[in-house]
Amino acid sequence: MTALLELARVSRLYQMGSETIHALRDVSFTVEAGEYLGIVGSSGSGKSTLLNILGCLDTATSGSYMLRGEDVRDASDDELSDLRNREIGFVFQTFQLLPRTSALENVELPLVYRGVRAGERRRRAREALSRVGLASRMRHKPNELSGGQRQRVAIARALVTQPSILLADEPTGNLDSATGREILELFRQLHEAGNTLILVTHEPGIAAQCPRAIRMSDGQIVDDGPGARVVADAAVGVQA
Amino acid sequence: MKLVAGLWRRVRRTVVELVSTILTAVRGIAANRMRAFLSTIGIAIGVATLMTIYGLTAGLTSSFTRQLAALGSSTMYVSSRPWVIRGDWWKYRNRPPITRDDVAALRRRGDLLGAVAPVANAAAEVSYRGERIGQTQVQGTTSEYIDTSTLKIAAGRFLSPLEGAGTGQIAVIGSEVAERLFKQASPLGARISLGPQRFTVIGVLLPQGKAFGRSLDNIVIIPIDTFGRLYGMRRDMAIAVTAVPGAVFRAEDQIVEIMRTERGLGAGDEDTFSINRQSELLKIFNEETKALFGVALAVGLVTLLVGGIGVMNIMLVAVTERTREIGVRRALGARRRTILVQFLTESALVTMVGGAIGTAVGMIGCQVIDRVAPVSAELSVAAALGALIFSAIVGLLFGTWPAYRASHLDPIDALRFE
Repeated sequence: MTALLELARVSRLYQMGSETIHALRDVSFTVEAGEYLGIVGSSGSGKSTLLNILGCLDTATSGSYMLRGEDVRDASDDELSDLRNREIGFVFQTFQLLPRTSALENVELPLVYRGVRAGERRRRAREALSRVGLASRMRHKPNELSGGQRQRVAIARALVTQPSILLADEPTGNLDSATGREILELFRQLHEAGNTLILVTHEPGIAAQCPRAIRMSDGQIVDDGPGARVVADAAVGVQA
Repeated sequence: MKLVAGLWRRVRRTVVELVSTILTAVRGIAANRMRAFLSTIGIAIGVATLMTIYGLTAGLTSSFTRQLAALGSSTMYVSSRPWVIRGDWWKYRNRPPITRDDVAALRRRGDLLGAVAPVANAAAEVSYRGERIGQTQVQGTTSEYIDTSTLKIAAGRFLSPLEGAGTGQIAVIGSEVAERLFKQASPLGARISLGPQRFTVIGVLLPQGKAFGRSLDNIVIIPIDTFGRLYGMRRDMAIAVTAVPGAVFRAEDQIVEIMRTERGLGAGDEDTFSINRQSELLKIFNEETKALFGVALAVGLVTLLVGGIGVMNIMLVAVTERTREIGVRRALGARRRTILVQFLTESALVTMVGGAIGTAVGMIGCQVIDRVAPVSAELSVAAALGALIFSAIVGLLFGTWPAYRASHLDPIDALRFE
């Protein structure tokens, strides 16, 4: 069986004036369907760049990224847009909900870009909102919801297209710790239900809860293993 | 089959996106009502200007056409001076007036001529049993006049050949005169007063409408000799002449020849009369209105240009404000084209709102002109529709640059934008 996603020697270079910055160097790893992977690292470690490439928002300078057997590197901008719509569900630190737009309509949005008709859209968006426990808040606008509720709307929006991967970028970064725990619990449930999750964080405590974690430093993978072990090793300065 | 299914999916996606885009745009504008209004006010002013001037021109044209129609499209008018004098006015100043002898000569020798009718005009007060019209157009002519003009009889009859030549105290009156003097009653047989004299009404004309704020139906037609006795025959007269069928151009040559002989002009002498036609007036009028319309169009277009730049400005601001929204939409799968269409739709809607306001103001403007000024202004549904479509085009045009910028934002940068 081929892996859900497979990165092989992926590098990403940025040209800043005359200087070349290696945001990613020869990153290789695979993720199987149903995995719950944490990507941990300090800021500047390259985890954001990696997230962008995984999310088809950016493409690698060299190396290959196979997503469900499809090579992403040669995809056109339109193809990348379609890949994002079909394969990726984004959850952002700052929720990124459209203002003045109800929870239901926010969740419907990705289905608009898939050409799903209004009735069907509504039905699926309701379903997704119920899954994240917001059945009673569908008509509320983002500014009428708490931070945790907003993030649940965002998760529903990510789930509604039944993507291959749920890609979360510091999903608890803007939440208090109790709410953050609730969101992480929701992720755990989604994982148990068979979803593939990739969670990017700088907090070791969160990465430790992931069944598998990758630690990034200086654009390279420095550790890959069970979350608790990776975090523990990092704490005592062991490099794999 | 696969191809058809793929095509269908694409069409469905485009339609779904477009519907959602329009709804979003409408809501966006509704949420920012004041801003949308202010940004589109330039468009509104431009469209209002164009609409008013268009209505005015259309009104003038139809006024003029109506008045000209009464002259008869193929009728030639022989008069001492041309209707439109361009250049040397002095040349025409000392021409002798048209006389009854000229009329007689044309009638006697013009075998290519159909109807020949002298026409003289005066203004007078007309009254009947206390009802009065301060100023009405009094026309002296003969029975043949009805064949040279587009006048139609509504009731009674026109002057008969015998009456036209004679000095009978009879009159054919316009529909407005009939209405104002007689209300519902039949004017036939009644005796109306023109100055000190009394005239028996023998006929009523069909309404002809208004031209330049003046009614064409406020008219009293009496026999030419009676007219001469009343107002004097020295005043300038014209001769309305029609050609026999198929001889329009030869008829004009014949008129020239008869008139020159009658007036004893030598080979080297210039004509001392002019032959006028409705078509010449129409030509000149069209030239003049074209120039007027051209200037108005330029003014309106400049206003629209300024308005369009205003809308472009607002749209650029909107793109910056909504950078994160653009990033989110792109992350969720919106293609560049989708974003492009979204912003184009918004700017087109904003300018269409302006166009609608402008059209409404233009219509009110035309109504005001209609009430206040002697000219009428007419606005058609087609003109209003055209204004809306035109303002949408302005929106698309000036929305292109902002929409292009929106669609080419890098999704990563857009998502991070603060």
